[in-house]
Amino acid sequence: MLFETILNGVLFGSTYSLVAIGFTLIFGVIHRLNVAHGATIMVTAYAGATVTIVFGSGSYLILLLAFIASVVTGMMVGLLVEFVAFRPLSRASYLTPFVTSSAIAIIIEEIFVKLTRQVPIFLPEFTPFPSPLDDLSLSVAGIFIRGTYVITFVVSLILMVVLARWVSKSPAGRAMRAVEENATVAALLGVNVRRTEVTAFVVASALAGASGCLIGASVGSISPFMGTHLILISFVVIVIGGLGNIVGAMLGGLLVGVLEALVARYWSPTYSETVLFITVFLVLLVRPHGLFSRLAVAKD
Amino acid sequence: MGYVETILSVTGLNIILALSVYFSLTVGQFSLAQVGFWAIGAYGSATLTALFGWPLIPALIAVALVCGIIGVILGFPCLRIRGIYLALATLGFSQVATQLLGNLQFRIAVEGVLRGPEGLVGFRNIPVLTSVYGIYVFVALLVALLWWIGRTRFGMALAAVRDDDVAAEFAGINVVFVKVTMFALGAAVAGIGGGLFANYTSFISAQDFGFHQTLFSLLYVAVGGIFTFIGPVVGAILLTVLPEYVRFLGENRAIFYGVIVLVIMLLRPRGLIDQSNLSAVRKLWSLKTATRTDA
Repeated sequence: MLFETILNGVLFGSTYSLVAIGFTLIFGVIHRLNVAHGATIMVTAYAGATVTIVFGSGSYLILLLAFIASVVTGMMVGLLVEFVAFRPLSRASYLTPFVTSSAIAIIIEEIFVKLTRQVPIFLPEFTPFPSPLDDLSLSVAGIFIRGTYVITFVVSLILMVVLARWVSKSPAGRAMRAVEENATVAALLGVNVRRTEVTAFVVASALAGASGCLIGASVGSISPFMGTHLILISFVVIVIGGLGNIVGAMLGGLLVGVLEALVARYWSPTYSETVLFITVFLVLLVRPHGLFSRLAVAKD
Repeated sequence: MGYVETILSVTGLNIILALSVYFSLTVGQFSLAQVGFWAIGAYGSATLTALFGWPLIPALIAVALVCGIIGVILGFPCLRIRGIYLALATLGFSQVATQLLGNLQFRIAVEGVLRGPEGLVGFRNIPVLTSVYGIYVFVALLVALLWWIGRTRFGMALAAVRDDDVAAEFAGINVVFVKVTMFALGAAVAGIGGGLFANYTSFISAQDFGFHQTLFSLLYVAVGGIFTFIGPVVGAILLTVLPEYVRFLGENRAIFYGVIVLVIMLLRPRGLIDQSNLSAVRKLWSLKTATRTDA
């Protein structure tokens, strides 16, 4: 029973890893928190749901199409957020982009609250996200595993491995790490800092799109307010993993998934956030810059 | 009457919330814990007045003390945590406080009627012990306190710590004392604000203290400007009253709200009230008084 809970936590936690990697990627490059990241995920989940609702949910091909729709939507929303909330304020203190991206999150959320009431294919509050994976399940040695969780985990893992290789090997990834380390020196060495920042946003938001589709498909329903929960989860993950640390975000996401599953199983789902935030607080008391953080103090 | 009065009191409560955020901002600490203290104050004062029959003022003093003490306890470890990490840690405090209080089940019979917090349903039938006047008396007290602090040596110490805490330390200022004091004061103010809120609306639930409320507390301060206490006051008034003037937008009001905040922040990244327009007003004022003395 315990093992099953932990396993399910790890499997679903992989979506949290994806969410947090996007979030931490943006922070690593521009040293700003993108509060609209959760709202971006919500929009992409609706994009994916639209595809499966309109074209029917029978085949895997349509699910793939929904996934692509989510990722593309994510990129577009990410570009928009960068253009409106971050680009004009590159010189302001960290408080200002925090506020502008919160404002964008509020705007997007409210637009979707309105949309879900008026577009006939959506339901107010919770819209179902049909997928052919719904009925899939595995039972290995008495342990029950949902099929969606396995596929979610595999897809997330592939994306994470690809991303890790891209960041460490590709020219764009190297430029990103250079900017992360020191933007001025990177610029002097010929790195196009502006383009690197936009790249980081697009890649992070594409990951947000992937996680939006995966979360929608494995939870089975989506709502305009799902982003708020996810942004809180990402705060927790990046504090545990260290801001700007991609591997930390991966492990942190899995850890948060397990913690959430354990609290829900052995105590009550209502208290999962409490336990997570108490963990955050304790982590920050012991290590004021997160568990695995490499970033210097000066960068806050 | 009812409508205008409601808007006025909501504005007053938001001013208190914004000013409580401002207290720790004066020493450069960006705290999102205020809504947590607000919730503690609301539930605390509601319990004392509804279940134990306390009058309002002692109940408010009690919650202010409790929040102040929690503020001191929280303030010391928070000295180590800076910038964005502090924001996240204090946000954690708010979320935990709200969730624990929001799930509280504690009902006892008062005069034959079951009263008390009822989990997610909320805390109903809190005696209404304050009015719009009570709220504004406290707002006036707060503004007076902040104005007075600004003129004392302690106020100068605050400015020094905000600008550069290392330099302030070298100048002989007890930075730890200053920061923890302001953090605890902000906590106590938020606690009283929460108490006033509970005893004004008579019904509270976890939804009143969610993540969105925390974001709003920050928006008031950021839109108004963090340079003087006038900033948060202006921000809270603007963001509470303006949406009421655009009722014709109907359901689009919340979207409009976000757009206003976005536009103001893009045009004035430091907020509406900053050093330059304050000194402009001062200059205008001194010109006026000068001409008056001439005549």
